[in-house]
Amino acid sequence: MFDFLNNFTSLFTFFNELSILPSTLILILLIMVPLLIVVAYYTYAERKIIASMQGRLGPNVVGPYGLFQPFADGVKLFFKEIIIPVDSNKFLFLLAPVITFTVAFSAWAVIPFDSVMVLSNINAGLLYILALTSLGIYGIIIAGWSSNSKYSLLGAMRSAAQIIAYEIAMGFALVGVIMISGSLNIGDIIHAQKGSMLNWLWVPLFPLFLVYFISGVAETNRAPFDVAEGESELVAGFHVEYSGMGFAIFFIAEYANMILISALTAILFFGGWLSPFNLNSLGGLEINDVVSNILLFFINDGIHWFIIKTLFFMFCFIWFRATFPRYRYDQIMRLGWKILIPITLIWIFVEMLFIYYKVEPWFL
Amino acid sequence: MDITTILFYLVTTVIILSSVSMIIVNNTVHAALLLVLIFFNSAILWLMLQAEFLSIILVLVYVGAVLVLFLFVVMLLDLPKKQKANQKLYLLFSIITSVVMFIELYIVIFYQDFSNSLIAIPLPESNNTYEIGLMLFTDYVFSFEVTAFILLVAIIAAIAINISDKQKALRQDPGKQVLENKSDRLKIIKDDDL
Repeated sequence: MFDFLNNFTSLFTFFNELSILPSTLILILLIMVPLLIVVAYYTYAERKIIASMQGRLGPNVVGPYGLFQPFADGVKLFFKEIIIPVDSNKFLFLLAPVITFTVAFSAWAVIPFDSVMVLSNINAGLLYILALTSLGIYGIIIAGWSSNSKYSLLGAMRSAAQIIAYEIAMGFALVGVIMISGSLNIGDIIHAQKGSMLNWLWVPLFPLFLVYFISGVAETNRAPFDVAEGESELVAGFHVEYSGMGFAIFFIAEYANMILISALTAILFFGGWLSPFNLNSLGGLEINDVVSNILLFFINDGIHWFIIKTLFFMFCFIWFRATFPRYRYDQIMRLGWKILIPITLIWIFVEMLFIYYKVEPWFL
Repeated sequence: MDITTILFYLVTTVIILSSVSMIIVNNTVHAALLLVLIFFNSAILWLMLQAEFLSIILVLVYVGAVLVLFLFVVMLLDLPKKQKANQKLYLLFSIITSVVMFIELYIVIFYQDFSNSLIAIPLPESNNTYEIGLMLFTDYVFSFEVTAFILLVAIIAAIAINISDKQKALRQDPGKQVLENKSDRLKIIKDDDL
């Protein structure tokens, strides 16, 4: 009798715990859907911006100014046949895009969009992001190996070696951020940058910021580090054999990763949702009319600053692609191992001395 | 039955099944990928014990770096087809090792006290990462430094192995490449000179 009751209550608590799921799912959708729309229009923006940099028009047929182009591309890819190569490993071939996609989007769980807008505010947030971005490589390696093609395998190998090399520099750059803010929680890291734009971490950590952004570009396999899918050598690198939705998912994941790196750069070195103005100097003002109220809202901290900063770094990704020639493979390796890693190591040591002797911008 | 219990049984089932199939499976790449699955599920298990730092580091170091290199090597290896000649010898050795391991595990599990006193009590108002850092740099600083030294020696050894004079002919010298001038490479010949 009591056993039955016990079981009943435990079942009840089970459903009670289960009731967190729907609300979390809604929150996840609230992050995922805008992100996918941004990814769609990021591809459009890339084509438009590169076109104008090269004196072309870019997409301009589908809809006004070609604004419906991403959806036309999406529909096209959706209805294309998925071809599975002969003698390929079918299960892994289909699993690879899934892994890439999952990893690219799950890192967004700990990104704070605002002082309260964050899906899960965990203490080891930065480590979580580092761990998840290091998993993205599995999608690439599995895709390259399972499609049973020379080009894919070569692309996967290049990409794997490159990601391992740049991940170390990236991790060391993050160590610098952790040393100043004293926390692995991303919310705390943003709070440590309070003040004006000169209090953001890019001032005391300028070399680490450069190293982080360069390694971020390398980690996402974007130009000028795109030897993994260098069109002129390997057709398309690790995803040569993918068609239709398989290709589309790799494509979406790549752009989501670019947005993630931009957002992380904005958060870790440029204060995330913090306003670039010193809000304390505005404290005494009395404001009554509508226009200054709107202005004040814009000047205040908020999600719009996070979006503006992220958009700037997203633009940088496209800018790099339009302006820099592709690195040769041995140059990439040299830059990663012999230049970026020593820079981070030296700067961490310098920072350590500054913190030990309590020099102002480094010691908070 | 709360949700963590269900999760525990799910995760442990996956760990056991993938460990067994990792040994049985013929394809080495599949074995390496199953090892990834095992590590990932162990990380979930640690996360359920509120060891968030350790579990994320397990994913970061083992799954994100060590096994990637493993997979890297395994994929490039051209393994010969299964050899049937030595199977009896293999069987003998595997029986000996499994018997020894079984006895060892038996001794450890049944003569050891796994009572409640061993369960870690989560410290209130403290964060896991912070506590581990404090422990590593105070109580266990000697072993920490020794580990760091061993790793440093390993790094230097790995570099030393790779330096050999024979390969010098194949190397690019970036310094020379950077210092190269246009006038060294290009020669403009005008029609008048011909």
